[in-house]
Amino acid sequence: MTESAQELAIAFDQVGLTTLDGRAILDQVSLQIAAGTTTALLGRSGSGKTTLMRMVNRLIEPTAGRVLVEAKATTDWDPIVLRRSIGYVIQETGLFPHFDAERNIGTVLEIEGRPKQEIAPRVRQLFTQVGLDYSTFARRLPYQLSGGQRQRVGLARALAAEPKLLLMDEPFGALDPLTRAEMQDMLRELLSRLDKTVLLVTHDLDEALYLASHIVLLESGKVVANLPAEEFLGSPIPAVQNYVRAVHRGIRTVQGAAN
Amino acid sequence: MAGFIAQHASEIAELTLEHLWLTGSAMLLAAAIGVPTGIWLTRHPRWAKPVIGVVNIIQTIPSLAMFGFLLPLPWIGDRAARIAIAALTAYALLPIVRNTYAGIEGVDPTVLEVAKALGMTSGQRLRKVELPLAASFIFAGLRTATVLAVGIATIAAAVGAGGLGEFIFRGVASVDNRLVLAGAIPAALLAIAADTGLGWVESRLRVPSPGGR
Repeated sequence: MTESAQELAIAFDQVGLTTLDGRAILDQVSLQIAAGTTTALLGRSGSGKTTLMRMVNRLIEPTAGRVLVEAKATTDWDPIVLRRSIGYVIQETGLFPHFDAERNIGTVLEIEGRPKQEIAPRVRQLFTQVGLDYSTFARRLPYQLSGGQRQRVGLARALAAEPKLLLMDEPFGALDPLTRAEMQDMLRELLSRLDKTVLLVTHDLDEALYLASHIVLLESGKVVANLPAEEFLGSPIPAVQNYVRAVHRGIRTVQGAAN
Repeated sequence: MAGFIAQHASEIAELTLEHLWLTGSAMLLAAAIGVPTGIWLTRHPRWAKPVIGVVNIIQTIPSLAMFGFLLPLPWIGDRAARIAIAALTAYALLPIVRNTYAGIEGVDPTVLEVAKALGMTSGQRLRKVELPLAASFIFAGLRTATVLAVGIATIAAAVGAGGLGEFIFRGVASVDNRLVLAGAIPAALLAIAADTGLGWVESRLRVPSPGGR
């Protein structure tokens, strides 16, 4: 690695994952993700995008190549330290059903053993950051929250320990379009203020274009495109054109009929 | 009838206490063995089938035979109460081990994965996530085991361990239904009380959700 490694938050170096029965889930994936950027991993279900993301916090270990976080191979990190330093958000099922919103948000601080008097004010601050009223929501259990509220709690939990890196696995996939748009606005606004490196797994092209600075398209475990977001729609790469064409077909049909 | 109760009041109280002592200590022992065993099995799932199988077989032994088996063992042979407690513990194990194992195994894998991804150690995952989420399940096992033990403990009188079975055996021998009932009714009330009390704890431990779990 050269000195530019300093600015790299994550690097995938010839990463592969082959199952015991010889199926390749990921094949020679090399990617470099600069600190402070938001990268969307785009692709259909089964393309390997979630698997790739989960290698960053060592939920999955590659069978070939290596993953570097802050220029250090994940295998050289203590997995507990590594995971605590990375924010993690998944679809709404990710909250602890027996913790109220306040305890959910404070989880990482709690397991790090920080004192209560330090956790409480930090959690209150997070409630404000994600647009939830503390006195209304602090005591509620996840099932007493709407999908959007749960996602806000999940995001606040991921931000609690001030990680530099944020992994998001289809965070808004289970929400209705209006709530999703609100959440995307909130996230965009938050990311513009906080200096985070974000890896966002999504199959929603619109979400990728709206939130990400870079878009990586995966197909059957291979990177088929790695482009700045603004160049994505105009790219001549056939796989990209295919993906773009598959979206918004409804609008085009209706518009075609109207003409 | 009133005269009978008045005449036997102190004996009923004494045997009820003895009965409680037998089942209570057996339950504490069974929980102290069964819950850790259940937890251990979730960490070593290869052993789950054989261990639960053995515990299952123990439960199929007729209780009278079980008390008889334990009689010749030298380290408990001299104390009837200890035999009874050992036998009751053995019977109580199955529901406790099985429910602890199944309760923890049944925790939503997504939730567990998140716990791992946030950086919980495996001990923290157990204490903060798995046990609390499985708690109502584990308690359901304790409840089943307790009700079972209260019933089986009446047989303990056969080896001279005392308890409410004393009345029942005496009543059967002397063909006196009043004596049988003097043993059976308090035993039934104990079982109902244990069932209700532990059932209440179980419902308090249940993690509320609209779907229920």
